[in-house]
Amino acid sequence: MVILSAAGLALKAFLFFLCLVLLYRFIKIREKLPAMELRGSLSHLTGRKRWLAVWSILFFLACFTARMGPALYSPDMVMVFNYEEAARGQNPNVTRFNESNILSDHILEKVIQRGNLAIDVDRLSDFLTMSAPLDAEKLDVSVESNLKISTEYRVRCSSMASLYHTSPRTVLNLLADVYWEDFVGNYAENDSVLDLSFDELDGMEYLDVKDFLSMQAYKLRNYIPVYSSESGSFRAAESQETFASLSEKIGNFINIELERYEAFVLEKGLSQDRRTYQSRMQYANRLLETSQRKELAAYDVRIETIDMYNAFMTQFVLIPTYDEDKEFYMSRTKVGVDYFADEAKEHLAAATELGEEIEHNAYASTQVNASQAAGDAYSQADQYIESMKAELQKLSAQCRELCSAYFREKRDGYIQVCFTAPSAVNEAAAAFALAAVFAAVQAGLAVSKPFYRELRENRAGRKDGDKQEVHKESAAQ
Amino acid sequence: MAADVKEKETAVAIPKRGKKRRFRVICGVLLAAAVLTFCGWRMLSDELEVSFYHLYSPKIVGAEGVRAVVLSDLHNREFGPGNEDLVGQIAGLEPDLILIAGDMVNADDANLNVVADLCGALVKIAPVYYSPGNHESNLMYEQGSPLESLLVEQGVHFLVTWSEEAVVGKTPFLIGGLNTSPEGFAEYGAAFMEEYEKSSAFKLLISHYPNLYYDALADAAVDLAVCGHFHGGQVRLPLVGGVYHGDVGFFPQYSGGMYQLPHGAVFVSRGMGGHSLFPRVNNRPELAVIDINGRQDAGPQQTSS
Repeated sequence: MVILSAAGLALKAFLFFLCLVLLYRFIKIREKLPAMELRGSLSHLTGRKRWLAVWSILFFLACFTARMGPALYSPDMVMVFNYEEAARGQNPNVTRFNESNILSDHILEKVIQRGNLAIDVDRLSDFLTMSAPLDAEKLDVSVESNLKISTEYRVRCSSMASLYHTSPRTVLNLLADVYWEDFVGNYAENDSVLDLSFDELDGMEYLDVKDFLSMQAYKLRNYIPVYSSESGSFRAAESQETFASLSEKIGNFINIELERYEAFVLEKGLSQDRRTYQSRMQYANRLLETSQRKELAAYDVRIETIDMYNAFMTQFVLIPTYDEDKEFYMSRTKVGVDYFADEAKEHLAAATELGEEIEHNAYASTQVNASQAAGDAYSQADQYIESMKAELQKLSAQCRELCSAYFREKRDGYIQVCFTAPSAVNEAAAAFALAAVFAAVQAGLAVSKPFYRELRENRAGRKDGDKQEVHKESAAQ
Repeated sequence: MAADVKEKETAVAIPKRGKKRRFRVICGVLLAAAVLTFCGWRMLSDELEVSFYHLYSPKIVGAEGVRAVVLSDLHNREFGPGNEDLVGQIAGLEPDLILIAGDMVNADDANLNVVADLCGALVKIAPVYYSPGNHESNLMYEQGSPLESLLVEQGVHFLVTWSEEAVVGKTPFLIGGLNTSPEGFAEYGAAFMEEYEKSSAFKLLISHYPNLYYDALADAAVDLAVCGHFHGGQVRLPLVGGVYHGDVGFFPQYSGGMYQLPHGAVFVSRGMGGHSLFPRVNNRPELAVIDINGRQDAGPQQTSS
C-alpha cells in the first residue's frame, strides 16, 4: 500500500510536470498563437483522438486505484464517546476526561505489547494522529460562549505502519481495544469494593469479628445506593433482585444477624485471649473517656456562651437574615446563638455516644472476665462466623451480579468505534477530474507540437547557418 | 540541393529514433518484469501472517477482554525448526486460549511428531483446545493412530463431539468441539448441539467444517464458532475472497475471516499449510488472533472527502 500511495503521488507529480511542459511550450510559441486557427490546430488531434482517450482512461484507472487502495487499506477510526457525562467533558466516574490519553505512551506501549509489534512507542506515535470535528471550527468571539465539548474523535494511522509487518487497520483496532479496556477499567464504574476478603478474621477476637463483618456489610450497602438512585427499577435477569431489595437484605444482615451474634458472644463472654482483650478494653476506655471529657467541655463552653449572649447581646443586636421561606427579617439571635446551640447539641451527642461505647466495652470486659464458656460455645460461635461469612459472600455475589448486569448495559455503549469507508463515487470523481486535466494537457501538447517543432527546427537551422558562416569566414581567412 | 540536405537529415534521424524506441521498449520490459516479480513474490508468499479480529460480546465480564489464538490446517508444516517461530509468535501474543481447528496432520503421513511437539510447547503458553479435522479422523479411526492419547498426555483438551467448561478472566466459557462433516451432522452432531446450545456461558465451538454453518448450524446459538478446512479458498481475490474448495466448489460462502450469524459469529481460518500441489495464491498462512470484549463496533462510516 505504501507503493500505491507513492504511485498516487507520482501520478500527480507527473501531471504537474506535463502542465509545466505545456506552459513552457505555449510561452515559447506565443508569438505564433494569434496566427493559429482553432480548426487547423484541432486537426492535429484527429489522428490521435483514440490514443488520447486510451491514455486518459488508463490515467483515470491508475488514479482511482491509487486513491481507493490506500483509503481502503488505512481507513480513519472514529471513536464516539456515548455516555451522559461525555458532553460535559467528564468520564463516567465524573473525573475529567482527557483526550490526550487516547494516544498516550502507556496506551501505545500496551498496543505494541498486545500486537507483538516490532516498533517502538515514538515511531508508532509518529504514525498516529487524532482530530476532533470541532478542531476545524473557528471560535467566534462575538457570540457568547459557543464552546462545545467534542464527544467524537477521529484517529488516523499512516500507511507507513505497514513497513513494520502490520496494517493501519490492525493498529487502530488494537488501539481501540486497549483504550476501551483502560477506559472501562480506570474511568468507569469500579466494583472492586465488592471483592470481600476474610483473611484478617484469622485469630481475631470474637467481638471484633462483628465489627469487621459489619464494616464489610456497610461497604456493600453504601455501594448500592449510588446506582439505585440512577435506576431503581433495574432488575437482574436471573435473581430478579433490584437495588432496593438487595439494600434491604444487607440491612437485615447488619441489624439481625450481626446483632444476634454479638448478643451470643457477650452472653457467653467469649474471647480468644481473655487478658489481652481486657487490657485492650481498658486502654480503649481510657482514650474514650478522654475524648468524652473533651466533648463535654466543648458542650459546656457553648452553653455558657449562649447564656452570655442571651444576657447581653440579644437586647440590642439585630442581624439581617432570611427565614426558611426566604423571607428577609432582622434577627436578634440567628447567627450567634443558633450556631452555638447546634454545636452544643453535636458535642453532647458525641459525648453520649462515647459514653455508650465505654459502657459497652466495660460490660464486654466484665463478661469476658466472668466467662466460664465451654468448648461448645466456641465452636457454636465459629459456626456463626462461617455462616455469616457465607451469607455476606452470597450478598456480595448478588450485588456483583446485579451491578454487572447494570454496568454491562451501560459499559458496552460507552465507546463506539467505526471505521470510515471511502466513497467510491467521490474517489472516482476526483480521479476523473485528474484524468480530465491529463486529457486537456495531452491535447494541448498535441496541438502545440507542430509549432514547437517548427520553432526548434528554425532555431536549429539558424544555428547551422551561423556555424556555416563562421566556417566560411574561417575558410576565407 | 535542398532535397539532398533533407534526405541526409532523414537518414541521420531514423537511427536516432530507433535507438530511442529500443531504449523505451527495454525500460518498459524491465519495469513490467520488476512489477510482475514483485507481485508474484507478494502473491505466492508463504510467510506466516498474524491477523487480528475483534468480536463484541456482552457475555464478557469485566473490562478485561479474552484473547484466543486460532491455528488450523498446518498439515505437518513447520515454521522454523520444531515450529519455534510459530511458538514464539504465539507466546508474544499472550493468548488466554489456544484453539486448534483440526487438520494439523496429514492422513497419508503417520508422523505425529510435529503436532505433538507443537502442542507440547503451546500448553506452556495457554490452555490448548483441539478439535480434530478430517485428516485426524482418518488417522485415528481408519488407521488406528494414537493421536488423541498422545495429545491428551501433553495436556491438550481434545474435544471430539464434547464440551468443557472453563473460566477465562471472570467469564465462564463452554468450549465445544464438533468434528462431524455436514453430511454426518444429523447422526453424530445434532444431539450434542441440542445440549450444548442450552448453556448460558459464552459458547465457543471448534468445528472443522465451515460448511456446517451453511445450513445445519446456520441458526445455531453459538457465540463464536471456529473453523478451518477451506484453506482460504486456496486462491484469494481482492474484494471477492476465496476462489475454490473441493467440498463446495467455486467461491465458498465462508472462505476466510469473521462472518456474522443470526445468533453469533463464525470465524474461518485460512489455515497454515496445505496438502495439495497447487500453491496458495494471495493467501498467506494465517495465525488468527480473536480479541473478544465488550467494545461495540458501529457500522462503517462513509467518508465525504
